[in-house]
Amino acid sequence: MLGLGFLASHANSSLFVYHCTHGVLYLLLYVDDMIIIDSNQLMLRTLINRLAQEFSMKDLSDLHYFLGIEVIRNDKGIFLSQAKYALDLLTHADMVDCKPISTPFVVGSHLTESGTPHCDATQFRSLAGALQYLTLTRPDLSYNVNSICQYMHAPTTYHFRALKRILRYVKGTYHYGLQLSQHSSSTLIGYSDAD
Amino acid sequence: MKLQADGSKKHHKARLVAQGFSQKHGIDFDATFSPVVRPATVRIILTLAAMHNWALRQLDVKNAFLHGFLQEEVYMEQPPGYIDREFPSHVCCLQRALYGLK
Repeated sequence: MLGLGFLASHANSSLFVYHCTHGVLYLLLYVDDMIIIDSNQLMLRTLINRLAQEFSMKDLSDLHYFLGIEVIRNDKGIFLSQAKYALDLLTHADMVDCKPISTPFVVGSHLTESGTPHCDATQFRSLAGALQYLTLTRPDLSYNVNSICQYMHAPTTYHFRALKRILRYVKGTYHYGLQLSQHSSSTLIGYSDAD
Repeated sequence: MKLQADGSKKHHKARLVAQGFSQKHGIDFDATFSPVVRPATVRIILTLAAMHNWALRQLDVKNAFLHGFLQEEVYMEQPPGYIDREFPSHVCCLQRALYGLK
């Protein structure tokens, strides 16, 4: 990659950036999955040809799936969805037919360390980890998933109940995703909480 | 075994796998490194594409793992069934990464 004139990003080892007078090109690499965005189609052609000389590879053209995330272009911009991943997760948890619920957590409830240990900690960790990956396009789950993940080392029956509640919420909202807007601003805004 | 869409046999598939569990830290491996894409990076890249209406392309590198070069010197016993008759006690010095290595 570096031989082709790419710069490796300091912040993330899987991101490579290529600058030239014609424009800029970003390449995101995950083992054998690669996505490229660029401001100039011609530049991309040249790059693909040069990469093809080095590796045997396939040009999958327009992006539809990346790391299990569905990428859908619409008139507002790009919609990211993990609907299929969410449904697979429900199958894995044996909760495909569960009753959906409209909120992911009991209002005002707080998790603590005390309680009877959950009988299958491995199952808890596996499901909590899967939920954590789902937060990639589901910021509405972030807080609750983070709460249960704080008890990965010693989950109790109460924590497992909280996890199942999140899954019931997912059941009713599996088609939710993240809409990336064409009109987003690239200004960085910081918020702080004073209390 | 690779199957066709209708379930009939297409071709057999085999890969050579190294026994990474016999590697010892500090001797034949230093650090286990697997690049992880940060969720924030994925979202930023896709947001950039949405904002500028840039094309999004996906490429697939075949057998990507096997392109990796090794920094340490790693040796492997000859794989069963492919033992050199003349030098059965020799070991192989690996030139490139293999599945199963740390």
